[in-house]
Amino acid sequence: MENEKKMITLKSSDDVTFEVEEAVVLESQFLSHLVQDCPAPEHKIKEVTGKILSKVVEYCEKHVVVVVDGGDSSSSSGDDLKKWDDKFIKEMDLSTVYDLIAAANYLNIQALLDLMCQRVADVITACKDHKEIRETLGIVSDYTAEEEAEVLKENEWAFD
Amino acid sequence: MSHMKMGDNRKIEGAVGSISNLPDEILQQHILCFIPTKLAISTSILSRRWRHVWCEVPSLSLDLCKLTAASVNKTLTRYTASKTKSFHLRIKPITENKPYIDRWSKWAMSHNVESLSLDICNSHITYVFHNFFWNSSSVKQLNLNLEFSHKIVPLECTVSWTSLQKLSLNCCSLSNGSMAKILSGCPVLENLTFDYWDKLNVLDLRKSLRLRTLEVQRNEWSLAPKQIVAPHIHCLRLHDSELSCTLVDVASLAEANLEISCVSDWSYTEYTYVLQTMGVKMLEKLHNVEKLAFGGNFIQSVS
Repeated sequence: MENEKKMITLKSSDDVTFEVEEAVVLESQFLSHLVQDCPAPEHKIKEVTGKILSKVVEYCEKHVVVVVDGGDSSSSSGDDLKKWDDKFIKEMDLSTVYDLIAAANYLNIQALLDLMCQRVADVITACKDHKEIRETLGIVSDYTAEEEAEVLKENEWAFD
Repeated sequence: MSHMKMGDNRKIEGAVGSISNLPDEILQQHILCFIPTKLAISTSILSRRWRHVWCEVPSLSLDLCKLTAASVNKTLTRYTASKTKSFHLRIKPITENKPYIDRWSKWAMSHNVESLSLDICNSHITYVFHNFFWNSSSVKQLNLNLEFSHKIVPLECTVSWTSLQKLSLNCCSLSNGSMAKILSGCPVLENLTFDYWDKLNVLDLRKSLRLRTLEVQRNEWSLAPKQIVAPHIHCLRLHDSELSCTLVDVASLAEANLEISCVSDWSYTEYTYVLQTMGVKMLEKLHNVEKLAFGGNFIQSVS
């Protein structure tokens, strides 16, 4: 059975190649259409680097396996998958998270996009004010002092 | 498993690097809409890139117990999203806020809100929603938390919530007539939650053909409907301080969760007797149920 599975090669922007089963590719709406419209054995994804594509492939492979093997999608496999997702994001630095968000958005993998965005939302929610958000997310203000005073005044209540 | 082969070491392109480089749509629809509105608005100060990002976040939650009406108005004038998926407003209706309830619910309606939640707390005034409030084709989920003294549906009004699937009424004082009016105006209602009954004697859900889940929560201090007629529901959650209502028709029920707790001024014997009689009657109605869960008191009394 293993040999009958159709394999597809994905090539990243920096020419790292990944050989994956077709089912894995189908997790991405974008790639599903690409594979259908253009049945070549190899597809170059110019917008995603090898480092990020390896994460995308890892995520999709995990999610495909659970759906196929889980069969009736029982709650235990659901819990396992959630644990796996938690570990997957916990080990990632924020810059990788942003790249994965961009990749999931481009490749149209809704569940991966939601998972990554929720991580960022959680990080922001854990901040007590905008100063902490700036610090945590590494954002440098380019406002002049006058502009900053103006913005503060616009929505005063959000800054007390 | 995948097989990874390293390519040549060219400069890596396409790295996002910073959150500020993500598209607006992602920041608004996928990130800021999941954080509290106050914090989302405060992102306007992060940098120029962020100044107007919050203005199109499709979810707003404003708390008038902490904010002035003037602040809310100011915020809403800066908000530019054409569609707001979710709008939550908590109002402490000191008299000067009363006129704003209509204004802001109208604002929500004009933004085709899908999930609307209004919390009107610590009120001793009677509030009647205007007719426009009862007519919406966009709202799918409505959560009203009105403390006790509201006659919410005007007599002459017709209710038409054509998309409403989930309705939660907390502390709403409703007559049989008002409830019938609401139910007849919600043709696709699937989920109904209640936690205050007051004047409602009979909850008649025979015409709510799509209603699948009914959740009833009743406390010691509130009155309950005597009868529940709900032939189409599949799932019932009944949390009651005493077993005072009768299930007249629950023919389609597949899942029930019954939690009946003790009433403080009854003696244990009285309580057990009533619970036992009513409980056995109730069990008779549940013979088709596949999944049944009970609270501790209920099991003790009927066993």
